[in-house]
Parts: sequence; structure tokens; C-alpha cells
Amino acid sequence: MESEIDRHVLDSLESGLLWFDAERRIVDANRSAREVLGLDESHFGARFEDLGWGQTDEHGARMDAEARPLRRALDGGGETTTGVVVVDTSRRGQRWLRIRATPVACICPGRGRGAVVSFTDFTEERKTARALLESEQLFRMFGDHSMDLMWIVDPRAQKLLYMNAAYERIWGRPGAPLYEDLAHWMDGIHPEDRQRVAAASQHADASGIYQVEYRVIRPDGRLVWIRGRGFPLFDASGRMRYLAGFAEDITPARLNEALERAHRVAQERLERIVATAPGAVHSYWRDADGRGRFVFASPAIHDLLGVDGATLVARRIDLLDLVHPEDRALVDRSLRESADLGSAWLATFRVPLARGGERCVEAHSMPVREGDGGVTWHGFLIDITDRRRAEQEIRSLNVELENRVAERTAELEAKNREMEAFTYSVSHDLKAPLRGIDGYSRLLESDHAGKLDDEGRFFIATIRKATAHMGELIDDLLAYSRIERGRPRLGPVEAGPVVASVVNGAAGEIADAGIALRSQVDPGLTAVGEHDGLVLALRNLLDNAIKFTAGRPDRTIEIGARRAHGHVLFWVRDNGPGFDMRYHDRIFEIFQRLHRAEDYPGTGVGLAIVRKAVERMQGKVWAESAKGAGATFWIQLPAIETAD
Amino acid sequence: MEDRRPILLVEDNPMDVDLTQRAFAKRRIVNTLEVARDGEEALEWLARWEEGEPTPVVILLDLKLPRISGLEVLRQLKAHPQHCRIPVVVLTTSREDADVAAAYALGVNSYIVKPVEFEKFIDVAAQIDLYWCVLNQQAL
Repeated sequence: MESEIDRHVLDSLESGLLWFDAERRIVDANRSAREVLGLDESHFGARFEDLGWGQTDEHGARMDAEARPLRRALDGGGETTTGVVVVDTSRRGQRWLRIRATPVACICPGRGRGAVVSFTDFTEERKTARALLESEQLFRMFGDHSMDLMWIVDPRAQKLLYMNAAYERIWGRPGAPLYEDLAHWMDGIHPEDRQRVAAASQHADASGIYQVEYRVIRPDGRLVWIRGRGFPLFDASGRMRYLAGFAEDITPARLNEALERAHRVAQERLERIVATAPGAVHSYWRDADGRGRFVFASPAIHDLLGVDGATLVARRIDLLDLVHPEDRALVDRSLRESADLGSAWLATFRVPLARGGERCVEAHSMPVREGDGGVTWHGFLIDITDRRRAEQEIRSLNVELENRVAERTAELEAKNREMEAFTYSVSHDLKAPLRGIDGYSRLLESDHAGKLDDEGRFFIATIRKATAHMGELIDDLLAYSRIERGRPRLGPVEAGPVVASVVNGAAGEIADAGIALRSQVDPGLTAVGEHDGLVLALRNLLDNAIKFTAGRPDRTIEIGARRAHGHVLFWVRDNGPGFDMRYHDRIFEIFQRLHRAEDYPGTGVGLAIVRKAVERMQGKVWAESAKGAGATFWIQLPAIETAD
Repeated sequence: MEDRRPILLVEDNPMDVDLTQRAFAKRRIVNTLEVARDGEEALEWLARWEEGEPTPVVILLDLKLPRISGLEVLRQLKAHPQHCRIPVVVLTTSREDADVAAAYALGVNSYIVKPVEFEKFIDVAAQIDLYWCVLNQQAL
């Protein structure tokens, strides 16, 4: 059938070759066929079915005999047939064979027609494909159970190869468009985060791994926080083939973080407030029976109660045990009241300190009724020790001040009494000798005139004149000092009657002196003052005017009162010699005289009396004059506005 | 007709006593002038009157006296069941409102301020004589 050389050629082929006779009995096989199917010489002359080798199609279904390529080649019109047949070999197991069967007229000398079957064995490829499929199925199942998004992209083709169902769940969008065009990837990402996300993959580290957190806006408007991670996948030769990654919904974590941050900020703020609050912040709880303990106390409480906050809370110390024994009932009562009424607890109490001394504490707290039947007070305890001390100091200072005022008042009253006694003595004891001087001078003059010459009589006359002046001086001094005494009794004083009574008092003297007196008072004019004081002042002014017009031609005096800007103005005007206004203030001082005694007699007390009387009534007195042009004296007192 | 009973002068200042006597003499007042030199002496007269001494036609009383004050003497005189009717004239240097008011409150019959000038003092003596020794007695 063949030469040695032919045999070598056939055995060197990759493909398997089998020779069958017309009865499908194996005639021969090349080396490749023997190896693949596990054939040897012993199998020759037998059909596959004789060997017990089953044949199925590639899907594992039994193959009808007519469908088999060998049968069709032998039974057909001499055409080559092809097909895939799975053969159950006894030695090599199932083999997947791609077959090509060609009928031949003479298979070998003496054996007549037959068929040559060549085949390639793809059993190994087939196994690999199966394994791959299985692994891919596993992977998909795995991916579909993942809560996180998983994706694989072919970077060269910019194609999405795989993405699990998490995308639709997290993004709330269909995944199909991404398979069409990877650019849709950006659709769900928050516009502000897009650039950052795009940049992140560019800034992957040396191993190509990157991580980025960004926001996704779902079509329903909900914001989702994503932590995405990407990494490259390499093939066996170490070249990058794919990009893959995960995307995790971190919204709850983010929310938690935000909550924690807010909580931390609130906590810090609270701590700052507590630290800077005046006094100590506390929460004090009491059960229905009135047993209490601190639930919370800021560090400052140590300064107030002498126990630090942690110890107070840990040892369950009751405030009441720290309060001064004398104040406990008060504190207990105020707490009960606050609990019953739900009103603020306000109390002030003392706390004795272990190191000695005591603190004064003021409580401002609001009660909150608890489910356990107890009440918790939240609020402040404030140290008012210093304030208390200051208050006490002020109180004692006030008392001291009052005592001092009382002392001074008593001293003043004593001084007044002394002054009264003094003036009383002056009036008696100073005038009694004067009476003697005058009396005996007069007796000397009248009863012993014969024994005196003219000069002697002149001496006596001078003695008596001096005595009279001394008497006047004493009387004026007494009048002046009398004004001082007692408090002024201010009241309404009608101007008309006062001026009239002053004029009447001097009427005789005025008439005798031939003075022209004009009096003019606005009707219904009432001042606030002291009747007697005003009369005294006006009488002195009138006396003054009478005195200073003496010896002048056309002696004229005006006296009157008028209304002026809420005041009553009294005036006395004379056409006397007047005075230089430079001396205005001096004329109102006691014993100050601008004229020689021989020109105008007087004691220098009259105008001082006027000023004192007016000032006592809280009024003002002044004068207007020019030398040789007369003088006008004014008294101003507050007016009482009458109905007209 | 004139009452010749004495006038009682209660006065501690000897000079004033002398001047009063002289002023009375100038006015030719004939009534005897009895003098008490202080409040105590004045009140001793109450006992003498009980013993039969004639009561004075008028008592001239200074207020500023050693030991018992003039006002106290006045109070006791005016509180006496019988002698409260003897006229009392306060003759003093004090013009104090308080003294004047107190004297009138105690029932004084008149209050005269002693003038410094001797002429005026003689006038005072004349008024006392006219009013208390002449007119008053005629009215009775």
C-alpha cells in the first residue's frame, strides 16, 4: 500500500489519519491517530462500535449512524464529508474530533473500497473553553451579589467590558448606554466633581491604583457619596490589558461623619461655653424622696463647693451635704418648690470649705421632670462671695455714713445752741455796761453840769454818742445772727402787702425827710419766700435809700415789684450818690462801708442782712449804680404763677 | 389815787438796780423799791407776803438771773393761788422772740426791753408808774 517513505510522511503529520474498509473496520492509523485515540495493532479489523466506543455530537447528543461523516462518506456518492464527532475511546476517554472523511476506491490491495478519515483533535481547546466559561459565570454571579459596583474596561478600545448590577442600584440609571459609549460614565457625577474624578485616574500611583471620592446625583435628585478605586489588570506577559475597579456607596459613612463632626463641634462649643460660663455648670438630680446627686458638673465647681466635678459625680455626692447646715432647710425648700411648680430654682446659700472659710453660692437652674419620678436641674452655680462682701461693706459704709451724718447734725445743732447762747449773752451782757455808761454820763451831765466846763460836757456828749452807736451795732449784729437760725420756712408771699407794710413802717420818717416815694407793684404777684425775711430785706434797703438820699436835692425813692421770666423782681431805687460798681460785691459784706461815718451813719451790717435774708430764701440780690447817679437794688425770688 | 405799796425789782446787776432807782427818782416815783438780787431771793418774798408784808404793786423781773432764772420765777409766781394776781413786768435786755413768747405763755403782764439810752429808760419808768401805780389802781 505504501512505501517506507510514505509511511514516514504520514506519521509525521499533525492530523490523525485513519483508514476504514467499506464495513467501517479500522484498517490502519498513522502515528498521530494512534496516539490521540489510544489505538494499536490489536484494534485493527474492528469497528468503533465493536470496541465499545460510543459516538455523540459536540453537544453530547447521540448521533444517528446516518449522520456520522464516515457512514455518509461510504454510503454517499463519493463525496468528502465533514463533521464533529465526540468519540468515547477506551484508553484516552472522550475526544473531540473535527473529521473529514473521503471515500476511496481501493483502500489497500485486496481490500476493495473504503474511506480515509483525517481529523484534528480539539479536546484540549474545548476543555479550556469550558473552564473559561465556568469561571466567567462564577465571576458574573459573584459580581451580581456584590453591593459595590464592579467594572472592567478595555482601555484601548475605550469599551466597557463588564459592569455589575450595582450600577443601576447605586446610580439609579440603566447600564446599557455605558456599553454603547463609555462617555456616559460622567452623566451621573456631580458637575463639581467631574474634573476631579477624571484627574484621579491620571494620578494613579506607580502600581496604577487610584482612589477618589465624589458625589453622584441620582435621577430622583438624591445625592450619593461614592468612593471609587481603579486598578490595572495585566496579562501573563505583564502588559496591561484591562482597567477595573470598584465603586462603593459611602453616603451613610459620610452622613455619619458629618453627624459626628456636627456633634464634635457642638460638644466643643458646649465645653467652651461651660469653661467660660460664670461659675459652674451643673446637672443635679433628685429622686421623689429628695435624695440628690450630681449628674454633671463643670470643672469650675471645685472653686465653689471644694470638690471637683468628677468626684462629685462618681461618689454620688448630694449638694445638700455640702451646704452650710443652717442653710440646708432653705435649699431643700427652694428645690421642692421649684420641682412642684416647675419654676426656676433660685437660691443663695453658704458652703463651708475644708480649707477654712466659706463661699456664698447663688443657684440659677431649670428643673426637668424625669421619667423615673425624679427631677434634674440644669443650670449655673455662681460664686457671689465677693459680691456679698461688697454689699455688706456698702451696707456698713452706709450705716457709718448715717452715723457720721447724725454726728455732724448733732454737732451742728450743738453749735447752733452754742451760738444762740452766745448771742443771748451778747444781748444781755454787752448791753448792760452800755446802759451804765450812758446812764451815768447822762446823770453827770444833768446833775453835775455846774462842775463841768464846755470841754467836759463835749467829752460826755461824745461818750454818749459812742455808746449809742455801740448799742446800734450790737442790735444789728444780733439781727444779722438771728437770720441764720432755724430752717427757712418757704411759702407763697404776696408782693403787694409786703411792699405796702415796708413803706408804711417808714412812712413817718419819709414824710419828715420830705422824700418823694413812688411805689409800684404788679397786681396778683406772689413770690416763693419767707414773709419776715423779705420784709427785713426790703426794710433794710429802704432804710439804706433814706440814709443815702440825705442831703440830696429832690430826694426820691422808688420801691416796687414786677414779674420777670418766672421770677418776681423787687427793687428799691434812690437818687443818692451811688457807688462805683467795682465795689459791688463788697457792699454786701458785713462791716464793709464805702462812705465815712460822718457822711452817712451806719454800722455796715444792713446790706449784709439783706443778702443773708435773700440767700436764705434761695433768691438773688444785686445792685446797679454809677458814682453820682443813684443806685438800684434788686431782689429776685421765684414766682408762683397765678390764674390771671 | 396812787398806790403807795412797794415795787419789787428782781435784778442781779447792781448798776441796773441803781440806775432804775435813779430813773424812778427822776420821775418822782414815791413807791418804795424793794430789790431781790436773784431768783431765789425773789421767791423768798412769797413767804414774807404770807407773814404779812405788803404785796408789791408791780414786780419788775429781769430774765437773766443767777441760780433760778427769771422765767422760772415768773412760772412760780403765776402758779401761786393768791399771788398770781400781782402784775409782773419783764424788764430785760433780750429781744429774743423765744423769750418774749415764753414770758407771755407764762402769763406775764408786760414785756419791756431795757433801752441803752438813759432818757429812754426814764420814759420806761414813767410808763410803769403811770400804768401800774396809777391807772391800774384806779381801775381796781
